[in-house]
Amino acid sequence: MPRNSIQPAVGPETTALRLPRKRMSKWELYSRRFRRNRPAVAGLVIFAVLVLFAVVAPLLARFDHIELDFLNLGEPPSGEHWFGTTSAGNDTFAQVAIGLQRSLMIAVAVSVGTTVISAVVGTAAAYFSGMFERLTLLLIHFLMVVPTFLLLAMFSNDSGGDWRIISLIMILIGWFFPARVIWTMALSLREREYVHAARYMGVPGMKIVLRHMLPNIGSLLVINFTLGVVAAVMIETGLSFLGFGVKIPDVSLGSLIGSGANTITSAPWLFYFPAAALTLLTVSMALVADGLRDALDPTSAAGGRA
Amino acid sequence: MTNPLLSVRDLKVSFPSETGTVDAVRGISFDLEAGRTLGIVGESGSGKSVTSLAIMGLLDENVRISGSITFDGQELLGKSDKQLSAIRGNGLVMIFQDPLSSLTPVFNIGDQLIEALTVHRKLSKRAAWARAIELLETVGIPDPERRMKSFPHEFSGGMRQRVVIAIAMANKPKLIIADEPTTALDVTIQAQILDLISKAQSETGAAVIMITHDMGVVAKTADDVLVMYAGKPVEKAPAHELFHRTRMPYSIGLLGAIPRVDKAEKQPLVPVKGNPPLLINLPDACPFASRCPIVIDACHTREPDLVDVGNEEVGEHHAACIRSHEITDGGLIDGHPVFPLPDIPESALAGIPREDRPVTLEVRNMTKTFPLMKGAFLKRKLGEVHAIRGISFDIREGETMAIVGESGCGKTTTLLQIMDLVEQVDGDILISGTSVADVRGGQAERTLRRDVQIVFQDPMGALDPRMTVADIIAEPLRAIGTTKVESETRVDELMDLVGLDPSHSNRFPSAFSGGQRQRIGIARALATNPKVVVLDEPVSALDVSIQAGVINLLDELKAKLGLSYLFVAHDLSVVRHIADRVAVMYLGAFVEHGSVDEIFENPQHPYTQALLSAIPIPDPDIERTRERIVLTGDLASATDQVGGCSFASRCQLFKVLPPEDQARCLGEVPPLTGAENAHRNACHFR
Repeated sequence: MPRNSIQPAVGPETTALRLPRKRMSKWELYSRRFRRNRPAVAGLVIFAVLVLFAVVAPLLARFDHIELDFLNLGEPPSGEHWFGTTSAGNDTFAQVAIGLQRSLMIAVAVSVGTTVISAVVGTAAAYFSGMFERLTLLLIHFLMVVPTFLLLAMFSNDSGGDWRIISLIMILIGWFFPARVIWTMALSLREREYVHAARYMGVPGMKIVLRHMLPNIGSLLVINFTLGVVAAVMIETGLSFLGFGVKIPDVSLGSLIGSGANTITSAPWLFYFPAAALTLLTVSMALVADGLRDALDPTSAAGGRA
Repeated sequence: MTNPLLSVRDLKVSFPSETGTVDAVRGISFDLEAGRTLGIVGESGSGKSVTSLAIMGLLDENVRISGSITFDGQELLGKSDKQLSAIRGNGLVMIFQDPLSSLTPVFNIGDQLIEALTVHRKLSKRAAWARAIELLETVGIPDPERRMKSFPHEFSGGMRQRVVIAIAMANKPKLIIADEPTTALDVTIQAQILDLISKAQSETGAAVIMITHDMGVVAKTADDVLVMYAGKPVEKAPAHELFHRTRMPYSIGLLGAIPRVDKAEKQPLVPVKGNPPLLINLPDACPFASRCPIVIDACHTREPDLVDVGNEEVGEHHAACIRSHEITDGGLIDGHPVFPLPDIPESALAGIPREDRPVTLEVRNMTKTFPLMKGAFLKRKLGEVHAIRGISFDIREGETMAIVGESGCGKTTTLLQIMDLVEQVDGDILISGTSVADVRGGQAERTLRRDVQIVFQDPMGALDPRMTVADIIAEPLRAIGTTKVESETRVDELMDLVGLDPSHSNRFPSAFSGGQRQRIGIARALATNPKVVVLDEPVSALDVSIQAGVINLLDELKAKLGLSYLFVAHDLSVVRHIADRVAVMYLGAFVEHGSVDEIFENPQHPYTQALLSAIPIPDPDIERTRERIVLTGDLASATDQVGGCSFASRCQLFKVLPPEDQARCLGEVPPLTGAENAHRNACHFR
C-alpha cells in the first residue's frame, strides 16, 4: 500500500449483515414470460405430444413397422389398423410413429448442430477479428461454392441409409451459411459499449462471446433453429424421395410422404397421416419459436416486465 | 399593439400508442410578433418538438390535433398538405437538429439551394444560381462558387448547419423554427451558428422560435421564454424576468441544476428528484407534484392553470403553480430555498497537499497514429492521422482530472489507449505504479484492470440488454473470481451506494430511466474497488435535471471512496464543477494544463480563451453584455504533421501579431511551458 493511501473498501463490514435475498433467476423469468404467450404454450404442447407419440406409440402398437399383415393389404383405417395399411401390408400407424421418431432425431440433431457451430464460429470470428476472422471467412466462402447436395447424396448412399451418418453430413454442409449471416450480425455487436465494457473488466474473450454476443443474437438463433428443423426435414425428405436417404426397412416421414404421394387417389391415408405429422411438427416449432423470441427479447412487446 | 405573426391557442396533440393515448401537448397558447424570439425550453418528452412539428404541419395523419394555429392571418390547422406546402419553406421554415440528415446526401448543396429558391417562385436558372451564391456568402461559407458543387458529406457539421440556414433564409421567411439547432455541435461552432441565426433574423426581420434544452442558449437569444413540462407550459415570461424572478418550482429546479462556468465557489448542484410522468391518462393534478419539494395537499386535487403573476412594472409573467405567490426572488420560499441544497461530504483527502498523495495514473508521452490506407485489395499507406501527439499527465488519489476539447481532438482516443493498456513506443502508462509494458498474460492483466474501470457516455449502449441489473453489476466481480454469494451482497451494497433500490436488481436495464442506467454503469465500475475511474462524457446524454443528480453522485463517491477520476467532456461548465485539474486538448496535444481555478479564472492560451467565451451562461444580463471571442473556421485536419502551432489557422492572437512573430508560430511547435503542476500552456506569446 502506498503511503497516505486512505482508499477504503465500500464497506466490507456491512457486507456480513446483509442476508442474501432470493433473486429470481433468469430462467424463472424467461419461463414466466413464455407462459404468458398462449399460442406458444399450445405449440409446446403439440410438440410434446408429437415427441410422446414418437416414443410411446411403437411400444403400444399392435404391429411392428416391419411386420407384414398379409390379411390386410392396402386397407383403409380400421379398428385393427388405426391408420390403415400399405399395399405390402405394413401398419401405417407404426410406420408414422417410427418415421416421426426418425425424422425428429435427424431434424433436431442437425438443427442443434448447425446452430451451435454457426453461432460460435460466426460470433467468435466477429469478436476476435484479425487473422482468425479472415481465415474463417475464407473457409466459409470456399465451402459455399462446393456442391453440397451432391456430396450429401454420395455419402448417405455409401452409408447405407444410416441416419446418424446422414445427420453428421447434414451438419457439416449446413453450418456455414448461417455462420456467414451471424458473422454480419455480430459485427455491429462487437462495437457495442457493453462488449467494450466487458473487455475492460478483464472478462476473457471466449466468455464475452458466449455471455454478451450470443444472447444478443438469441432471437436470430431461435429462428435459425426452427427453420433448421424444417429445412432438415425437407432435405431428408428430398434425399429419401430420391432414394438416397433413410432406406427400407427403416422409415422416416420423408420416405413415407414420398411413397404415399404416389397413391394419393387410391390410398390417401398413406399420404395424409405422415403429412399431418409433418405439418404439426413444423407449425408447433414455429409457435414455440415465436414464444421463445418474445420471452428472451427484452425489447419485445412483453417489455422488460417480469 | 400590432397583430401577432403567429398565434397559437390551446393547442393539443395526442398520439395513439399501444399502451394508451399519449397526450404529448396538453394545451399551449402563445403569440409571437415579427422580429421577436421565443425560447421554448424543457426536458426530453416535454412536448416542445411536437409543438413545433404541429405548427409546421409535419405530424403523422393518425395524430389528433385540436386548438388553433394562426400564422400571418391564416388558420393552419385543417389545411391540406398541399396548401401547407405553399407556406412551408416560404413563409415558415424549420432548422433541424441534425444537419447531416436534413440535407440530401445524393445532391450537391447548390442543387438543394436552387431547389429551395425555385420551388416557391419563378426564377431563371442564372438568377437562382447567383442568389444561391449570395446566400452561401451571407452564412459565411468560404469560396461559395466552388462549394456550390460540393456534396453534404464534404462539409463539417458546422458548415452543414450553415447550409441549412442558407436554405431556410432562401425565401425571406417570416418565421424560423429552430429545433435544437446547435445540440449536435461543438461550443465554438455553436457560438458561430447562434450568431448566424440572429443575423438571419435581423436580415429577414423574421420571428424565431428557439427550441432547446440549454438554458444558456435561451439566455443568449430569447426575448420571451416558455418553460414546458409534461406537455404544458408551466411558466412564461420575458427572459430577464424568468431568469431573475422565477416563480415555478420546476423552472427554479432547472436553473439550479445547471453547473455554471462563471461560478468559482464549489457548491452542490440541485437535482430535481424523480422522472417526468408518462403522458398517458394523467390525473387532474399538478404533473410536477411528485417531484416538487414544496408540494402541498392542494397540488394533488387539480392541475394549476397558467395565471398571470406579474405586476405593473415587470409586465406579464405567467406561472402554473398554486404557491407561486409565496415564492420570492432567488427561488426562496419563507426565506428558505425551494430546493434544499444536498450535502456533499468533505473528502478526507482534502487536507493532504497534492504532492503528498500517491499517483494513481500516470501517462508519459502518449502518442497514437492511425495509418491512412487506400486500395481495396492491395492496401497502400498514404499517410498518418496523428490522433495523439505526445501528452503527459498524472492523477493523484482523490483527484479529478478533466480533458476538454472539441470533437475530434483526440480525447476519447486517449481514454481508449489507457483502457486498452496499449504499450507506448516512446512513453509509458502507469496504473497505480504498474507499467502496462510489464503486464503479460491474462492473470496479470485482470489484476491491473481491477484498478481502472470505465463509465461510458451512452447509458443504454453500455449495459447488455439481455442481462439483469444484478448480473451486470456482478460481472466485473465474477471476472476476478469473486464467489456468487459474496458478489450478490456486494451488488446490493453497490446499488445502495449509487442511490438505486436493491430490490430492483432482477430487472432488465430497459426498465430504468437514463439517469438510473448511468447509475448502474457507475455501480458496475465501482464493483472491484478501483483506484481510477475513467468517465467518458458520463452526463452528456442526460437531461439537465437528471445530470445534476449524477454529477452530485460522482462528487459524493469521490469524497467517500477516495477515487481518482479521469473525466473527458466537451461541456466546460460540467468540467468546472467537477474537476480539480484540467487539460485543454487541441488536435491531439495539450495546449493548456493546470488546476481548474487557474484555467478558468486566468486562461492563457488563445484557444482556451475562445472556448470559455463560447459557452453560453444561463443569465441573460451577463450573457448579452460580455465580450465574446468567436473562432473562425473548423478544427484543422489531424493528417498533416504541422511544423508550427496547430492552432495558428484559427487563432485570434495570431492575427494581431507582427509578421516576425507570426513566422515563429508557423515554424516552431510551442512546448508546454510554465509552472509545473500549477499552470502550463503551449503558446509562444503567453
